[in-house]
Amino acid sequence: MNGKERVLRALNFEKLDRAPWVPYSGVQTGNLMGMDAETYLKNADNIVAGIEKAYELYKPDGLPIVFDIQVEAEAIGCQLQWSKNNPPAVRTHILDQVPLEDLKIPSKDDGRYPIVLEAAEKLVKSIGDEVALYSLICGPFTLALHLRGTEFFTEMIEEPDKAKELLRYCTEVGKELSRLYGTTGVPIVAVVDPMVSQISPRHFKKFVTPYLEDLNTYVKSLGMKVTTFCCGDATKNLDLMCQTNTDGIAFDENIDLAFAKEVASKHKVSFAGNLPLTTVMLFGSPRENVEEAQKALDVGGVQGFILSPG
Amino acid sequence: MDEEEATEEEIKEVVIEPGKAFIEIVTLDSEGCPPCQYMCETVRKVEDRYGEKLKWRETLVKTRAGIKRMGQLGVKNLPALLINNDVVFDNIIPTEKELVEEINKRL
Repeated sequence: MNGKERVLRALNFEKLDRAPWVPYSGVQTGNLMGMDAETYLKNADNIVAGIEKAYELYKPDGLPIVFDIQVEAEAIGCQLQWSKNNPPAVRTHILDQVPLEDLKIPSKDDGRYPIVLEAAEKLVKSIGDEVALYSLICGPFTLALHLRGTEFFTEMIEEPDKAKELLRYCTEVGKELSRLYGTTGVPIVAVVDPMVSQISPRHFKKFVTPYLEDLNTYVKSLGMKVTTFCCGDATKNLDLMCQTNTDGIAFDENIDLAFAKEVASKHKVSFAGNLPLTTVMLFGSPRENVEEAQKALDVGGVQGFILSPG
Repeated sequence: MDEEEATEEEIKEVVIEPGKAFIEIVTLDSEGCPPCQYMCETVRKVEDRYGEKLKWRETLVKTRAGIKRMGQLGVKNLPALLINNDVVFDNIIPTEKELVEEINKRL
């Protein structure tokens, strides 16, 4: 069984010989190439070379192609702020300048879409038979924040219909980018929605569940696997995440792995995590990293678990 | 902008002054983490209305000093927003109204 098969089977919640290893080699991969984030993320060949290097160094079963969930917001018209060692951050919110009805769904020629799609196509050809490539898209809730800014939280309370209209648009954006990734042959869409840790289960049911479920169902209809990434302490919403017709959930160190395993296993959903990013991966010794990975593998087991950074 | 830079060497204690509020946001990094970014953005949106009465800073846990500070403050989740050293919004981004109410209580 190769890495790709192992990841796809984990996403089917099958029992395996061992848990797959999927390091989220994002902007750090640019570092491997001696490049800053902007140079790396604005050129398809740099991304391809970086991911191929990560494949060689980390011996992974799966890898994300581009870990940058600002791609959609940029293509829609938000200005980004680039920094050296991080993915870009959204600095202007397009809905401050343009009404929602004037926004279009970005197509393959908008923003950095041509770059990420070209990178995906090339990587599918070079390493896509052996390693499970993940195409990352921005989840509807986080994209709504990118487009509207923090006023979106107020809107959820005071003008819920307006908030839902924006979420419907964001869902369509996600569907289209998933479809475009699907044409490259990438087998997995990871819907990255970090902001879902910031709301209550009541708001999750109202403002996340319908849209994620719609998006996940669409991705599956394309013949792809779909997994849902959060970050922060989303413990309260983890069960709800599993109920969005997803194949998997991924989370960071703020969530207890044993708890996540219990919740995900109940729904027969794959679960991925959660090596501590700063205390262990950034400041820990190689030995401490190995020990932490071993602990996670012991807890996660070999059915549905994918070992990943948090 | 009254934002103070949190350095690797040392993170200064927050001095609480009567009639003033000091917001400290403990984050992974607002440049690379959307929840951290939007928690900082909420503060930026209200800071102008307080002038000298409000100061704020972002404390990153990407430094050893930041990790130590997080432990000292008793912060368990990121991002966390503290006002005058009290954890007020723990992994929940407040609306502008909620944040203003909490600041005003402490002035």
